[in-house]
Amino acid sequence: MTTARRAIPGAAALALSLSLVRCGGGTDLRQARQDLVSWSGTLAIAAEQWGRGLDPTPFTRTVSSAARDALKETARDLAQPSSQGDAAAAELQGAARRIEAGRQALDAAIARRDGPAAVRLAGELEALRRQLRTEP
Amino acid sequence: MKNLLKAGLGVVTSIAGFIEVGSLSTSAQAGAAFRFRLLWAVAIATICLIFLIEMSGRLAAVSKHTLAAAVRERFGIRFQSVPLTAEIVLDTLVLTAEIGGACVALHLLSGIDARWWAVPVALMVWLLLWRGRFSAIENGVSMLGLVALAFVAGVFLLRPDWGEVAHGFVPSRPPVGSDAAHYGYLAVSILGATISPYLLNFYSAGAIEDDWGEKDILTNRIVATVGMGFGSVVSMGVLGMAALVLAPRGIRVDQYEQAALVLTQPFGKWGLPLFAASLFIGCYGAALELGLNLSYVLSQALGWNWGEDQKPKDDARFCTVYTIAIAIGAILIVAGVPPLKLTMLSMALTVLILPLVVFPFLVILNDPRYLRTHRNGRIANLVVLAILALGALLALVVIPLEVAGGR
Repeated sequence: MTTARRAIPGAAALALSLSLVRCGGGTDLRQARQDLVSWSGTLAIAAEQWGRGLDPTPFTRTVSSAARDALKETARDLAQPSSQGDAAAAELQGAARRIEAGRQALDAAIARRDGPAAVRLAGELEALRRQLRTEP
Repeated sequence: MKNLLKAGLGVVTSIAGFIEVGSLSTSAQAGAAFRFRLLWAVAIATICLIFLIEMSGRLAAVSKHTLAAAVRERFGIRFQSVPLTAEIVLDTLVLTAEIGGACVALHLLSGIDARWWAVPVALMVWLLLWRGRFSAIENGVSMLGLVALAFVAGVFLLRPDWGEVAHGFVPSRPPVGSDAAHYGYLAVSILGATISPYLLNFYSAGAIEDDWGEKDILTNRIVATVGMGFGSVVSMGVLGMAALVLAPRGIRVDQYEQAALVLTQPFGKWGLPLFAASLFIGCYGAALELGLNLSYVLSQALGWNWGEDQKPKDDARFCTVYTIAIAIGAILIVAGVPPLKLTMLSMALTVLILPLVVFPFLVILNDPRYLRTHRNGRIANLVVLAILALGALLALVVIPLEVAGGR
């Protein structure tokens, strides 16, 4: 058997095992935490930039709606059983709810055209992001 | 001045290699997740592409054959049928993703759902291909594409740690504790999204459209280097902006909305329009290039009359091919197919067929019947062999990495 012939089943086996690793084992809390950090950071920048009049309203609404969909998906993932413990998942679920509340508050600030409120929200979302990032 | 205008072919080719929807998102993802650490992948992709593009142009200038026509003549339609079929599928997927990318750019600016823009964008692409001349496409798109230099200017304005930037050009392992599979996946994605088969044939067909001859050998070398260099610098600029703005906040690029935030910090109110204009022009230019390339490869492989400068009634089958492809692209985007998913699929397909596309270079570029005294030297052949080896390795790892490291 040549090296190439040996390599192809090897790669296929690797692909299969990696896909099993990804598909099995319930919720990946590390991934969920990264998603929450990422979207809280995204919303913080979007709120800051809109609040300071740098980004147009339609764009900020688009960012908010993309965040809503992503947060919904993360919350759904977190609702599944996790091998890393229910307490850790519950803590992340709480963080997801706080980010979603911040996102809704941003939508409300946009509707009121309240730039200073959006800048304040940016600060709160940024603090939440830092907290999520420093926790294990 | 005349030689400067010839650079348009290189720049427009590089736009479809570096500034289109897939490359933009991959570079932004790489910068956001690993800061400057994946610059080496962009640099390697650029060197490979410069060599392959130069060879495609040299082949066209000396032999008056495009790459597809030479492969068909030298290896026969039987050999060509596999890469040709793969390239038609790949080009159609990427064309769809580019139409989608242009729609996303308009969506970011207007807030109107991207799907509503699919038909107007497709019509804009089709109309320029139907009515325009090749020179208008290459010079127009390459001039407008200069707007993407905003990413490079942005990096300078934000004053990065240049030591860290320089370190990024040295291939390195992913940082401890990071997602190694995602690092590998992004490195392969950068290579796969950049060294695209359609660029090679498009460039050689463009050289024929521009009537290059043996006197243009040096010009070809300069145009290939300047053109790919331009695209590469922009791609590094996108990666750098994501590294400077998104990475410190832990933001990963899962959606274009996140990438679109990067230029506001250095450019204020101009940031979003500059991002959207770069994305739109990159995708529009790439869609033109892909539509043309589909018509080129099919016409050249099947021996049909071809040429963008001919009237549609003189090369009806050539025009029919891009018309159908653009219509398919528009329909898929209206149906809600996400451009980012298509990009991931097309990247994997690109990597899988890369060895098949590169292998003919080794034969044709050393054949005196085509290149006479302008055959490949030892270094060029070594580079082709290295790209072949890299392509074979990437083809083996792309699917496992896409499963493990794709998001």
